[in-house]
Amino acid sequence: MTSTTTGAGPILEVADVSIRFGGVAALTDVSFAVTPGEFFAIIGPNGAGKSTLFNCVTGLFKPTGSVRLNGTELVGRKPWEIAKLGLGRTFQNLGLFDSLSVIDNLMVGRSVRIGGGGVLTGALRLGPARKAERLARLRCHEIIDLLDLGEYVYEEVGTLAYGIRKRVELGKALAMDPTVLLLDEPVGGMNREETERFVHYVTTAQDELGLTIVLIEHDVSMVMDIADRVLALDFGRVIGLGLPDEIRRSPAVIEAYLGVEAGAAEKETTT
Amino acid sequence: MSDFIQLVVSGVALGCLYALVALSFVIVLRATGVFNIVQGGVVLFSAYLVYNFHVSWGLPFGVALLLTVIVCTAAVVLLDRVLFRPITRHGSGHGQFFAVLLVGVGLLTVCDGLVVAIWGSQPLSENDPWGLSKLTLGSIALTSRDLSVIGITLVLLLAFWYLLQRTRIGVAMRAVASDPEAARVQGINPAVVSAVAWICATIAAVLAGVMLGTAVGGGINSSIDQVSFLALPALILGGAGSIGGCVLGGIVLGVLQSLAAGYAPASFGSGFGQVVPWVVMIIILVIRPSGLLGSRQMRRA
Repeated sequence: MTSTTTGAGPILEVADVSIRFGGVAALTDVSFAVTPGEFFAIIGPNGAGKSTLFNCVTGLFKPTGSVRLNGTELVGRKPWEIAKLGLGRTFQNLGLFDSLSVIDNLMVGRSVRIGGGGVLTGALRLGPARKAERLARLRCHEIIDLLDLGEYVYEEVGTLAYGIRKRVELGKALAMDPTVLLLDEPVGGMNREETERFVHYVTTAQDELGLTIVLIEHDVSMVMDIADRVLALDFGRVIGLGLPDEIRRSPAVIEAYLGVEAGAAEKETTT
Repeated sequence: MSDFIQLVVSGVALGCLYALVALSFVIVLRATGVFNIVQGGVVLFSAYLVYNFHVSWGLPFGVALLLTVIVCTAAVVLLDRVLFRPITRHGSGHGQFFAVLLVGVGLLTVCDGLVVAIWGSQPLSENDPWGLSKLTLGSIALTSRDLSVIGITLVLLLAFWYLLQRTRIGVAMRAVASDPEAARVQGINPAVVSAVAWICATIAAVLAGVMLGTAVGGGINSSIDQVSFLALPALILGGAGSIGGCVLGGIVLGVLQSLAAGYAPASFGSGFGQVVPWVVMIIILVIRPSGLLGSRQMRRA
């Protein structure tokens, strides 16, 4: 992986984000900044607040504090507005539209980029809308090629194998032309070979599309291999932020999370 | 034989009305995720409104129809904003489902009372906008009303099918139905999607109501919203959730009902035809709960 981009200001800036559900503090004063082009990873044990953090960033939850994308405040905006601003996201449990074909799933994502013509001109396929629609379809096919999904274009997503659905989920987010892409445990449930393939698709997409990636992951060894920087969460608080090697050595992180798995992670990276 | 064909044709026409109302339910269900029976009130009101605009005020039939669609859509979208959205926002799962259903049933009762209060309890006649002239093919006499009902329904169903399957708003609608949270993150504004869905559903319900009001002998009366309950067996029979299912379920039930009414012994009573859809629904629920065109979604739920 390329090293951390320096010089530019942060593209995604999370400052003092907190949220409570009932009496439980799910996130407490979480702050970090992601620089353009970075591959930023978020790790933490189950229930650490990783997905909650994504939900706060994408507008599904409304936290206190501030989340800025390219300087624009996101807290208080609706999820679909945030999507239009250039924030893409995949879901841990897949946010696919099962009854739709692969291309239609991507077109749903793409619709945020079909500007101009409103819903009605789109429905009637009048002049400019028709052209925009054709361009959008073209773009979706490029993404489908990038992810080697060509043979499934018109298949209903619900009928596809899990690993392929994960790739469609990635494609659906890419179709939005995001500047920042949030991936929520994209390789969960995959074996090593599938994981490596998926990581290949993610890094290819990142290089070709100039994306900034924020990834939540459980598989620590994978994160340590590919991430530029790592944020560690535990009980909704930041317990570590730095280069993979720094996180690997951080006593707080080892105690909270790596304790058992650190040995395994070390062994895998040295082989 | 000619009796049989006449019964089948008028059964198909009746089934088309079931299909339209069932479709109205399905569109709202798919776009909002909640089953809402309030469209039955639209069926009722639209029949009276068209009567009011067309017969009482003397406006042309087409204008009356358009005005009715506008008034009903506005009323229903308003109801959605002030009643149903607050309910679904605070509740979840079964509680929300029953809350919306019961509010809908309550509103239907209110509608019944309102139309009687406004237009009286005597059945009204639509002045027969399609004309009850008969088309005679050999020994078979078909009313042009039945043929108009079938034709209008087919055109509308094709339009909806195109909208849902082939356009961006249709894809967005299906996306919201499939995973509302993912759809929002994907840049879809659910308020726009549900507004379009309510408009489509209302058009279907208005046409069903107006065409019901022209039924031979029946005219417009405060019980024509019964059809909203008879559309439920059509939904179940076809397999809830698809346009094709609504059409198939509606037409099968309409034909069965028509044949039952035509051939059942007099000792069964004049209301026997009305019972048939429910008997069919119960049988279907027992032997094939997912309906004739049952989908995986039903199994998964």
